[in-house]
Amino acid sequence: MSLWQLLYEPDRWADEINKLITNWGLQLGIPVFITQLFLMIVVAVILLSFILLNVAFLTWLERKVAGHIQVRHGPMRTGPHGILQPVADGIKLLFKESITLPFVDNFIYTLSPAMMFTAAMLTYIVLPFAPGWVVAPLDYGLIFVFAAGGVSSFFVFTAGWSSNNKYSLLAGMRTIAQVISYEIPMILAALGVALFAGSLNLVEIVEAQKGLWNIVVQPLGFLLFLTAALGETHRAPFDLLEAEQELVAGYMTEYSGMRFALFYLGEYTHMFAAAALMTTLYLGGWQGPYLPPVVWFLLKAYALVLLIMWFRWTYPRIRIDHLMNFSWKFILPLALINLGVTALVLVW
Amino acid sequence: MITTQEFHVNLGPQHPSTHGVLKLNLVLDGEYIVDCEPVLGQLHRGMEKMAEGMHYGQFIPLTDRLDYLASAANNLAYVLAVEKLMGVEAPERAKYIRVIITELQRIASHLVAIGTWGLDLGAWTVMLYTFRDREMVLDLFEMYCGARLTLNCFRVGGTTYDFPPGFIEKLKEFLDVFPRRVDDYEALLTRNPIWLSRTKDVGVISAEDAVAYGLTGPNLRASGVNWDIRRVYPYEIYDRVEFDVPLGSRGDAFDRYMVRIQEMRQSCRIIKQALEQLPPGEVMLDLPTISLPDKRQFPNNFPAVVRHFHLLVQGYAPQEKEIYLGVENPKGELGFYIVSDGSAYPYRLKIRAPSFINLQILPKVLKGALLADVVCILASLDPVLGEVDR
Amino acid sequence: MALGLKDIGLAMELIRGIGVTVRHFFQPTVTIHYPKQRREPYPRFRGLVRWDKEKCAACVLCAHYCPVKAIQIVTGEGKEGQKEVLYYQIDAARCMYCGLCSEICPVGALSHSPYYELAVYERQDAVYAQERLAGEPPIIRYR
Repeated sequence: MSLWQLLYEPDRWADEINKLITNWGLQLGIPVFITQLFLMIVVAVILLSFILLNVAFLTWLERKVAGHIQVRHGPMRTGPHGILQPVADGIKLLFKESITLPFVDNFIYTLSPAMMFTAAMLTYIVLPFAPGWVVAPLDYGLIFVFAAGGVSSFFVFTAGWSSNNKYSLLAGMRTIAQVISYEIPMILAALGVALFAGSLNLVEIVEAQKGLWNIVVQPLGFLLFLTAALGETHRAPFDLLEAEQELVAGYMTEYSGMRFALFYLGEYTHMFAAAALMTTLYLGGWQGPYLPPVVWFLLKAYALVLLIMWFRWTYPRIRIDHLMNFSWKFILPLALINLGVTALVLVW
Repeated sequence: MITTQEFHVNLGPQHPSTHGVLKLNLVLDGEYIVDCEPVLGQLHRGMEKMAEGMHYGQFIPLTDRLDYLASAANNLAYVLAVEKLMGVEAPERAKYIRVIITELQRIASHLVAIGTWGLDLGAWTVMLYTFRDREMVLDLFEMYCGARLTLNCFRVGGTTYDFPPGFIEKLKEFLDVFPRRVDDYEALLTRNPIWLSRTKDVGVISAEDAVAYGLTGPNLRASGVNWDIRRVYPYEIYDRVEFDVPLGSRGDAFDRYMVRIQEMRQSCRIIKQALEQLPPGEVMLDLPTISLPDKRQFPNNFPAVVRHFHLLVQGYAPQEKEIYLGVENPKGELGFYIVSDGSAYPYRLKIRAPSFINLQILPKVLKGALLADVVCILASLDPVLGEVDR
Repeated sequence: MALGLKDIGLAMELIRGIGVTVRHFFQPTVTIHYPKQRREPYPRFRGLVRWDKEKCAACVLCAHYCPVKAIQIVTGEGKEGQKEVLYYQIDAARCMYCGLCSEICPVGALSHSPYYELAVYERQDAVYAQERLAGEPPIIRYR
């Protein structure tokens, strides 16, 4: 067992460590399910710390990218090139007062940010980072991802509703409209990939792309999925729910302190999940020459994240009725055509 | 039983995109605007009344605070009005300097208009690009008169300063760079499908409405009415330079955007021609009744000292008459209506503020628009609340 | 304007927009790191007003002409019977840096300094009087 193995043969390594600990537990007389539970907790902690660190890095990256696009520096004062800015932000938000206004629906108001973040994190359970590095290789992984994403958006709506603020309510209404219109084309676009792989299991979808990535086979599907994912994760140019020029801060208007931070975390978690999902579905997941699989996976995902950020800092925001039109009259027909053609080709 | 109900929203005065302390009482049906009532006056400072207690020369720095994004243009309007009242005219070189500074100010003002408009529609980057280029203009102003925003650089009978050494080189450098920068904004906005969908057919003002509501400036010209005071009643040197008056055809927000973009290019053209024609000479009129004597003769030249004190303490009194003079400001026609009773203080000074009058059409345009269009239409009318409330 | 399938050509414009931002990404930045780097104002910069006691002729023209009445002067008789300034103060919080006072001062006793970092913690610290009106102002610099 070496570092080389850890990086290049992660599936063998994961199996070995699993066996090792199970055997060691059995020797001590600990039942298998307890050692498994222990392993799960370890994996959960690793995954959670990855998500949080990743989000911290992404907030810094976004500010840096935005800064340089806008011919300025971005954060510079905390650490070299402001790399410790997320830490400073986190400390600040933790110590700020979490104001609860008297007219909010307290239970839902408190629950929403936490649930939104949790739902965004659920997606990571089925994402295959490398062969063998997946928490639950569910057979219905693709459906699970969409379900988790939808739930996350639902809590955005409840946040807007429970805030009892008119701007928040408008943002909540927009959320529901937007999520419904973008989830459908997104699933339809992804179904094309599932048809190719013959499975809804994300691991099998990645393995089916050996040699030929799906982006080559389904370029239209990729573009549709990218657009729909922007709409689904509320990123510009589809960031209508927090359109601060119209709705002040959208559903987050009444939130402050750590609750606000949770929304922020949730948003970035969701964005990285979308990028990782696109990597899995269209860019061949962990596959690539020379470099270790997990590095390949992260490289592709970060490239997509960068692209999403670039969109945000280049384009104006789309209007709500155009958003609907764009989804139902443009993306949905194209997604249906894409799915139909894929099915026809496969049947042939 | 389910009933529907209209939804009242107060947009402003504390809202990210109301361009100042404008408050809009909106009645919404879902996302559609049913009714809109602008509430003005939160920035009222009583400028017109303040003018009645001041010498004509003392009021110049206060005109900076009208449309604070185009302070030199306000200075020019006021100074020209007082010059008309006094029946004097500035020297040639001063006229050219005034036009160059005012056209630079027009560029700066339109840059803010387009930048904040982009920001209102979510295009952050455009705003930072335009502010970067506005900074070049502000640097030129700082070089010329020492202030960046509230210039206070023109006087009755000329200007305070001549161009400092190195100014013209820097100005030429700016004129070389600037058209390329405008190309960049156009690449980001003009044919961007999202920008098109946000601005085309949004906030349409017909030519009849525009005239009926008394709109002026880019907002009027976007509706296709060819009315530019620089062209119709040329003041200063505008009859000696060539420029086009950009016109829109449909009167929607996109036309107002295009008119502003093209006006910036035309301003560049005017400045280039003015620089070529710039004559040598004095920048301040040497007229004992209004202009201060040269300080270098103090204290030996006693009559000059007396004149200095007399002009500043007593002020200069125009004849008893009423005048109106309007000039083409970046926002529209800024006019000063001055009633003089023969004393050194104006009896009444009325300001025709273009933003205030342009804003009156807002409730009519907003009806039936979406909430997201409110910020777009408001930004396209480009009001400055310092001028609206005075 | 509703966009439909017919407008697919406009997608090229989206790519052009990306091109502009990519070009700017690799350009040198135009901002400066303020507390570490400071921008030098131009020679004519109208910063905090400074007063030269030696030159002042106690004519009170500045206090009279200031449009916002930021200047207060108390004059009295000196030892040799000449008019003298007993107290001179400029309220920097009222001052609007219009430059009229330095422009009209017949003896050039008033001038604009290049100091622009004028934030103070107490309201009365913004009132500059007598000795504080000459030389470098006692400004709390941000570190």
